[in-house]
Amino acid sequence: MKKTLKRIFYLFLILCIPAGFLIEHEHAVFFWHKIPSIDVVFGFLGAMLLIGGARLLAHLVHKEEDFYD
Amino acid sequence: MIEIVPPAFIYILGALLLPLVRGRRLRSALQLLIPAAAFVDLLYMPKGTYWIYQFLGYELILGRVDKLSMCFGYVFVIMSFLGMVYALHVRDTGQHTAAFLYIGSTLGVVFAGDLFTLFAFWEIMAVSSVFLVWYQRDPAALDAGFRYIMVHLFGGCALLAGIIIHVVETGSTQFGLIGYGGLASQFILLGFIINAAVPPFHAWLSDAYPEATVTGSVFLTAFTTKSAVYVLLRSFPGVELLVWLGAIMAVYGVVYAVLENDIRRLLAYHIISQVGYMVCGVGLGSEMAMNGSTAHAFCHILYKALLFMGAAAVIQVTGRRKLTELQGRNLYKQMPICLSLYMIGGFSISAVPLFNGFVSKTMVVAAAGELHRPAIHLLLHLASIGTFLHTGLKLPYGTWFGRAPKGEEVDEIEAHEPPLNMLIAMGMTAFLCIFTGVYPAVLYNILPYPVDFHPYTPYKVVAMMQMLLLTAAAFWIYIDKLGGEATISVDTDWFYRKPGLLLLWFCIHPLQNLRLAFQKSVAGIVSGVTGLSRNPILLPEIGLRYLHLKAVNGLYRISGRSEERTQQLRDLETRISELRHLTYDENVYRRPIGLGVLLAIILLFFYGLIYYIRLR
Repeated sequence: MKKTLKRIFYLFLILCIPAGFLIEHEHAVFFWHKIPSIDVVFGFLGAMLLIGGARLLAHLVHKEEDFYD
Repeated sequence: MIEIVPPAFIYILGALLLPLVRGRRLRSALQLLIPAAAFVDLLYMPKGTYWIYQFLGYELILGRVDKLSMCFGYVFVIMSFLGMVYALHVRDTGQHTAAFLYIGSTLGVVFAGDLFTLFAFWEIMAVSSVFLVWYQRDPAALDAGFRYIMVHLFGGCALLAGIIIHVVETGSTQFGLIGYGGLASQFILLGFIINAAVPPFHAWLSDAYPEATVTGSVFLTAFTTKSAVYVLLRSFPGVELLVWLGAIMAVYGVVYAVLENDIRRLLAYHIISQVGYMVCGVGLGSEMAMNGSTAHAFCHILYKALLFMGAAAVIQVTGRRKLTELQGRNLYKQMPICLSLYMIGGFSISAVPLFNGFVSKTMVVAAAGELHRPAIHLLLHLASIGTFLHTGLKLPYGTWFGRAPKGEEVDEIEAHEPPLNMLIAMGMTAFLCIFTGVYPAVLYNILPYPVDFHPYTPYKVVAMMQMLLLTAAAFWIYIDKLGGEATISVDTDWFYRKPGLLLLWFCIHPLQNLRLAFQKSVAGIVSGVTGLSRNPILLPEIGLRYLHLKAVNGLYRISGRSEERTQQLRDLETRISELRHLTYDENVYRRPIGLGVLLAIILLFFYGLIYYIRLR
């Protein structure tokens, strides 16, 4: 079950990138709408940015669980 | 012909009836019958303005029915039914009563046509919802509930202030387009955005919702913030400030969600994030954006309820609420149905195609594109990534699968699927999430403006899948950094929680000491006066003897003391003390004339004297 799910995930992951080259934005507004498969970059960089940003923020806002007691 | 009544009244009547009903089955039937009756009522409600009552020279309008209010009305009633199915096993009637009052007042807000009616229901909403937190009956819930109600009462005061200024300025109590500008609108907007949990006024949500009862939190997720979105849609469309507040709060919510360990608090931060899309849509103000906000509120109520149902089911079954206490326990083996239904909610909130989040979230994002707002467009994309990262991946992974940190002992948890009614409620909600996702026309037809938007274009579907799949890949790479940590995250509630503790210390120590000192000195004066009033007739004598004592004491101090003189002083003191303790006995102090007569004569004498002087 776990293996099948993983395989499906990898299959989709591999297929989605070339799929982006086959289609065009139907109503391109921004310049990045014209770059094929740009959302691949958005997805990965966005996730990295959030994880990294949150790790940095954690130094500031993470406190012991009894902080308010 | 069915006689229609304001739907709010049906719920309020239900809230009043529920405690009187004996028998569990009858009570359960009533719990489901009330939402059903309200739904039928909605179907029969014609468009227009009615249920108008005169009050102190103003018009109270309980029925302003148009497409916008009906859309929110429908989803609130549907949610009330699903929530009640989820809560059927709860025997605590008080919780159901509070929930019915809460739902009824929310519907009162939705159909209110004037500001006074809006304000009244707004306050009932705040007061009734806090009981869903307090019924958890633990100290943390009690404290969180107090903070919740205080923030909401502050918001209510701001709203009332704004309403009063608005009514004085315009002479109208009508609740409609207000627009930004002037003190009245600023106060009203403040009241609204506090309920919408817009940062920095959002901390009440992530503070109180995770402390609520298992079933209460499901109701809480649906009504307060979304009714705030409704009133914003009604009165502040196209306000630029809201565009930025919305986009920032969409990202703010997901960033804080990364840091969270408590599963319901993590989901609560995602409410803030998702409401950000709606607030942003209100600010954008175009027809597509307003439709997007309304549609997203509709879908959000369903999938967020489903997510809270899933998380709350885990808490109910295991008694644990933190990722650090759940990861590595492989709960997926014991709760596969619950996990599957939760994942439908997870995919919906992440806007996976064929789930309802996709058909509404893309509309708001597309509206930002249509209005050429690149920064807003990118911020909303970023929030979308974060949503999938945590609600779709981190939370289910940590809760049902996950790896415990190396070296940590993993205890066994006895878990099982939640009660049947909870699973049925989750199943129905999941069905609605998929149904509106697959067949969005059913939702688009009830939106306030005509819809010219097609979510299922090849580009939108592929772009969304690319974004989500690569987010999943990034999650997989950084999976070890995304586990729960046994910490809490300080948020803007610090600004009232820490100074609040300081205020408490000030009250308990310096203020209390001051009170005690004051009380002591006053008590001394009182006891002195009491002592003297024991025998007022002796007062002159005591006074004279006291002066005598002081004079003698002073003289002796100058001329030197001896044994004899000290004894003399002591005798004087003893005599004064004896005199002070002599109580009044009328036989001892009997005079030829009574005291009363003497006083009357003295008074008469002075009266005569003054009369005489005046005559001269």
